Amino acid sequence: MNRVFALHEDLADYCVEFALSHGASYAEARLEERSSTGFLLKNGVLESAAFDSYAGIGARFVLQGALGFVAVNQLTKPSLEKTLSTALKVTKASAKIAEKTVFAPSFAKKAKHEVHCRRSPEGVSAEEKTSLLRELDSAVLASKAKIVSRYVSLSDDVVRKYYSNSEGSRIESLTPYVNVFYAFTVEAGGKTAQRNWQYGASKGYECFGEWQLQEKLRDEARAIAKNLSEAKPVPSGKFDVIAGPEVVGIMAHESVGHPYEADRILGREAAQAGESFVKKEMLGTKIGSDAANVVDDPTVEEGFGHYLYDDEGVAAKRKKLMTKGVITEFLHNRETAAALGCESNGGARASEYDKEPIVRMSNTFVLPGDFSEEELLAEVKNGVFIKNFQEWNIDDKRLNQKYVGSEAYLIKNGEVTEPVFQPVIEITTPALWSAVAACSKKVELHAASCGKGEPMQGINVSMGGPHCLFKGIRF
Amino acid sequence: MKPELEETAAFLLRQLLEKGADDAVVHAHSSSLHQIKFANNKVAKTGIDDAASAIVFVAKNGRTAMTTLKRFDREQATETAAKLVKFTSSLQPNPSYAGIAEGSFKYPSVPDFDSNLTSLEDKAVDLVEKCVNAAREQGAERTAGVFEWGTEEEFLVTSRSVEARQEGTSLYFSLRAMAADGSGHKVAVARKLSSLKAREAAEQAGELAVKSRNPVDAKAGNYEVVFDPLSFSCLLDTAGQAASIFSVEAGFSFFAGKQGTQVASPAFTMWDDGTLEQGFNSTAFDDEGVPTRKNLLIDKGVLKGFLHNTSTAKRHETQTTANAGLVAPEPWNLVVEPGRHSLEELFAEAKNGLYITNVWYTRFQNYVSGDFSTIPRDAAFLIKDGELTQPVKGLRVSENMVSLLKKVKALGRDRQQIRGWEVETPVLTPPALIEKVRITRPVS
Repeated sequence: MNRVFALHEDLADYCVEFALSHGASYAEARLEERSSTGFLLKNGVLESAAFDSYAGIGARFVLQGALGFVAVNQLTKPSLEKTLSTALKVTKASAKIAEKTVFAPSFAKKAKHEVHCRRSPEGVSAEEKTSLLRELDSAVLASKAKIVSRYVSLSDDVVRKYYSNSEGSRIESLTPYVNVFYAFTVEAGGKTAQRNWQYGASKGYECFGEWQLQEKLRDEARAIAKNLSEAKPVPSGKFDVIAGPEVVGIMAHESVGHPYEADRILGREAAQAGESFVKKEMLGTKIGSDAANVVDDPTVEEGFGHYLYDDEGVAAKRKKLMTKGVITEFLHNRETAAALGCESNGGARASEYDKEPIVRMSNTFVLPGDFSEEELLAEVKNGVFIKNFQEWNIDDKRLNQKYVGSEAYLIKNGEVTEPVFQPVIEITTPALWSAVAACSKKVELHAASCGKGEPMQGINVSMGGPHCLFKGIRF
Repeated sequence: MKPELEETAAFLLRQLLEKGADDAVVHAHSSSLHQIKFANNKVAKTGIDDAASAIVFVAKNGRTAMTTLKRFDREQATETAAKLVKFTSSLQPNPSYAGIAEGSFKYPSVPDFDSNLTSLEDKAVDLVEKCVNAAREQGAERTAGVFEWGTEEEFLVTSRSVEARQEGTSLYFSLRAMAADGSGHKVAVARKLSSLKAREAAEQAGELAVKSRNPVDAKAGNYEVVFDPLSFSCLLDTAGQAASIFSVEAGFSFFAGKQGTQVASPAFTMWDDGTLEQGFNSTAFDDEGVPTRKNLLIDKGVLKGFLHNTSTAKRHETQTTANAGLVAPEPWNLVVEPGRHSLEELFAEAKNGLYITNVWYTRFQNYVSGDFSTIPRDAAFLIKDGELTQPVKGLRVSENMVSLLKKVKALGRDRQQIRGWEVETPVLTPPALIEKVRITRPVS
């Protein structure tokens, strides 16, 4: 631990002491130091290159039952005292109309957690990073498809955190992240189509060896060009659908993960992120088939949403959101857990030091079944295989959703045949999860940035699952 | 701004030039942003975010790079300058870069600074309480939202004789009201407290919540749709992004290749205006220090041009529009020319159709073609014989953005300034009547 970080740890502890000595009944502080680099290659030109490092403290306290939050990035005692003093004053004034904040009990913890990586982002040169980007850009061109725009970005972070609260918890963590985003436009047959996707991991640069992105980008560009040239619309009617892990992942994230967030269920995010069709009384209600099993698990190390302690110092654990189609668990922080009379299951996360921790997903995925991919295909006589998607959305109660396929094919008698153009699934959540008939054995996780909160917090998550067979989807 | 911030910024610029930078920009910000978040009619959290930082840009031997300075002292500035120049030298050239603006410039004073905002604490709590009560008096059962206010100071120096400073204040109020299965959402945006129409927003949200109770599923089909300023601004935000030349080059613009052509109906005219009075994002200068202006983007439906910084303008043989972004030009405030109709007259003009007060989750299948969908949320109603009737739910606008803009039939005369989750660029717009909008819904 470096000297500056140790000094800043003392300041975080001081925030807790200061709030307590000014009447707070509870206080916590999160020190975050982040060093990052980022590069953008647009149509083959390195248009942006940046490095950054910062430290900041975000602190929460409860005063006369009201919840207050401060964030500062000038880490000196006078600066902290000034901001905290003003915050305590506003929070005290708000107490007359504030919700009485109660946190579910949590055992104080002293822990250190470091995500070990073979090639830390801090040890990889800018030359190598830009060279990796250029390889991805070249891979798109190597498809020989007509590419009319290319956009490839690479960013990495090393995040050191220190969490301290008035109940005695002291938790340190160090997590590296590597993140690739790409977008390209293919033209064929007088039309265009786009592919935008992201790869990310809580790892070092060894992830590039695992991702094999050059091959993926080249093949995706070829498949899109073929789709543009040859694909026909899906005929109207009911079809069995095999959805790939990217599609299954977004479905799990949007229509299982989000509506099971207890703060939505309780109305705290109603203004922007919305509420939920799931009510607190619906634990134990069956809304999907026996084959539908969905979890959120921050302990999965390869996930982009990996952590072992949440931003309230609660140990992370797997949450069994949907089990055999039944709603079995919500995502909680300490505040929602107290409101619903249970323990927090460690779902409190803040995107950065200057945001409050709220209930978030981590790595959300459909659990595997016992079919091979070939066996799943063999189940389908007349269907559609949707490998990936572009456009999607869902309403603010998480009932009405749409996924538009990108690379997609017809399935005839268990065989993937000709491409189909942008098949649209527009369906309600119970209808979707009731249609799950079988899942394959192999799970893939894909990285994403999930938006929630006000102010908006974009946070690293992963989503995924196996290939899943959905019966009787209407197009 | 604290003197040490300006002194350090100027010192850092000199350091960069001494180390061989061809161009350099140091843009220091200091801000104090406050928030009261409320839910279920009660305050859920109060918060303050105090921050100071400087964005630092350098160009050297055809290479460009950026970093951020977070600690304002000479030691840190010296270290940052050395690291940035070394980092820049390790990069491949950026042939897209063609320089920053040559100063110096004169700037108009920004009149929209409200000194009341530096100590608003008790008044802010009272404002939230009054607005929650105002919505409830309309019949709302629950309310949720935020009240945010803040002050920001900026100091910009460049290697091209620019020295600019400004201070500003901003206010944002958002309230969503719920009554049984009905809901309504309104926002209020201003730079001065006296101009913030928060109570009106709360009352309107409460009224919409009550009116929209007991919605029924609407049928899919093509509808004449009246979009409220809140829902229309969510769509126009994407048009503002598409107007940046960066989006055009990167494959994120449905305006690419359409300059000088009809991209909207003749009823539709839109500017980007960095000088807008009470504009949430109004600024005296852009990120190069060029004085901002009002730029005509779409004139009676014809796309007049794109948003540029100095570098992109040189490459495209035009002039900067004062929208730097050093990497990507960005719109400041989008402003739609009002029409002549009251909201009721737009309903009458629609005869039979839909009134959509809010949308969210606008996502594109293809940014270049403009194919997208978005989901109406909160109050939506059927219009029958020119009157609002049955509340409806379960809709989706599945459309193409250029096609949609071309179908704008009429605009209202009363404009509102909107910003929010999906309206990153503030939009001053009236309601709009759009013909034959494709509405889809889940099938089973």
